[in-house]
Amino acid sequence: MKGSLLEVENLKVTFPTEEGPITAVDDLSFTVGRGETLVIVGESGSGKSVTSLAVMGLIAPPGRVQARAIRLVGKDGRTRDLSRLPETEMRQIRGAEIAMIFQEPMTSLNPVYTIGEQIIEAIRFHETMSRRAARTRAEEMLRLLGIPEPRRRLDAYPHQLSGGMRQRAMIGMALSCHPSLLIADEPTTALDVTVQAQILELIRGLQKDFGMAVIFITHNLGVAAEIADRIMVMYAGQVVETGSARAIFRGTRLPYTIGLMRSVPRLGLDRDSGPLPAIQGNVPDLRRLPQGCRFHPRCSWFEPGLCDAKLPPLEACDEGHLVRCLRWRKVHA
Amino acid sequence: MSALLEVQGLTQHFNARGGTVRAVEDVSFDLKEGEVLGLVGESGSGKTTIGQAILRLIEPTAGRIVFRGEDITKLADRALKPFRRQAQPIFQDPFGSLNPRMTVERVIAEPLLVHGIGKNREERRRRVLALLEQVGLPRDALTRYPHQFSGGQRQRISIARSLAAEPALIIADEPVSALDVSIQAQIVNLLRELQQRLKLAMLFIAHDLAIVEYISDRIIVLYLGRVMEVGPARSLIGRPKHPYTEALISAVPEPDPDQAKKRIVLQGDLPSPIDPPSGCVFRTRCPYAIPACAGAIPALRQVSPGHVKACIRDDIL
Repeated sequence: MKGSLLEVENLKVTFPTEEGPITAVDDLSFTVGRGETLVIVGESGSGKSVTSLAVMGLIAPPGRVQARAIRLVGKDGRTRDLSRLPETEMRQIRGAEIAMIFQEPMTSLNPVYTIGEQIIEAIRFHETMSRRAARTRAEEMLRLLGIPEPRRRLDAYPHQLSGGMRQRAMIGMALSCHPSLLIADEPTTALDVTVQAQILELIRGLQKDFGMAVIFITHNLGVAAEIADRIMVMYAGQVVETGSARAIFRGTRLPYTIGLMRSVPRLGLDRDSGPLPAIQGNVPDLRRLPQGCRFHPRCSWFEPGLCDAKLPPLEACDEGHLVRCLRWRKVHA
Repeated sequence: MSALLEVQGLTQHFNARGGTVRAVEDVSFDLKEGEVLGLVGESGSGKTTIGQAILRLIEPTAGRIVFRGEDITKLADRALKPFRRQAQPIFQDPFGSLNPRMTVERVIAEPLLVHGIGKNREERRRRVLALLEQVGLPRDALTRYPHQFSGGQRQRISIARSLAAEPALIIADEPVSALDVSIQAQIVNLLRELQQRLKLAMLFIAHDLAIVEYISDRIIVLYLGRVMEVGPARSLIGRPKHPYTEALISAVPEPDPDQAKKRIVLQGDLPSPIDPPSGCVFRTRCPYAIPACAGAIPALRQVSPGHVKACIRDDIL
């Protein structure tokens, strides 16, 4: 695995429902390089969050995870297949090798323990260290995260902090054992734009300091443009486009990505020139996926007899740039 | 155009442990017939509270709300009914705001029943079908339940319900922020089309500046319950005159990796609304603050016709 930190091969996640099993993630393969930021872009039902939970080994039954391999290079240099690891070993991976942060910090912070107790527990779970030393490390972490009066905040309960501070505390807990990969699932979506700007700046800075790789999940292309090295676009459980941030933003060949980019509201739009460009129709229901290309009912490049007949494969339209569209040669932004 | 709605000195305090939360302080504005007024600000700015006070869902602490010349601030429920027909809300969450046990027909017909519109069931059904068509939903939606629809379609149902009683004023509180990106533009377009066609006045409350700029004629920028700046939408966003507006605009991420933006990252947190800073409430985070900012609460001063700001410095923006 030259340069790669994480390699996911043929990941499939299914959930049983009353109407039969649904495939939330369908034959997904991707890699994340050391220190790299991969942004997964998708809307509801795209499978972006389920993918990250599967990597973390956090899909609970009756959900079912299958994969040829989920390989991670550990800090010790050993490569492990996370899809074959027993839960006891997976627990050592979580936090120490891969850490995860969520949109709503209260889902990962326990309301009845102070911030300090929670960070110290996370550190001492993975490393042999005295409480005092762990407390010092926790305090340093909060200071690094720009939390004022870090010593005093260690004794605060989560509800005593503002939304932005809570998000910082959660990041502090996630990073307290210096993981080599941080998975951030919409970490700024619930925040105000000014706080979002603070947190994005913070994550970028920490990444530089620690050389940490980041999988950043978002539905916001503006946020993706700010931090991505590479982008993976998902739709209805599949990867539909992947490439460098520049390749996607400058030369996407996928009708869905083009539609998404056009529908992002930008400042300074001239409303006299007509309605906002929008993608027609609705995000598909995984229980009733369309035949052929899953995007075809909403696509303005749709060709009858072709797009509704055959599921397009992922094809390289340029070096390192893959698209899932039968007509990509004709598609331009 | 005359003022449809006048809000004068609106103040809303809540009692909480630890003191009085000053959610809205002395906010005044007019809304003309057919005008769209955007209300922007971050969480804690008071924008949602203002919408709720206008709808009389909460009782203002001080100030007056005047609708078509009538002071409705103190009206009792029965006397409020004609106003309630004229002013309809659209909420953020199309999941929580639609009764899951009602068919779409009943959801949309509810305001018709409440306000005694339509002689009989047949007439009301015709009206509901016309509304469904207006918001782009199929006729067969009539007998289905809200959970059978996607988020975007559900928001179309709430819009149809809001329009049922033929209001003159819509209070839309974050109507698209819970929707997927590819759906947001559809709903914004629908709202604008209906607003134009039906000549509706609208108070559009949202934190997404680009959407607010697109749909609004004028914008009010709020911070910690106070008005910072008011102006025509395009000039306020294009050439902000208040430091807070400038910071808010600069924080919006651009979907373009090559456009390195000059960003003003505000330091620190929103101060507590229980104990707001003296003088200008924004001064503790303002990159341009000077000692004089702590002195008095800055008055709204005109910078150009129809454009006012609450900032004592004229040498910065």
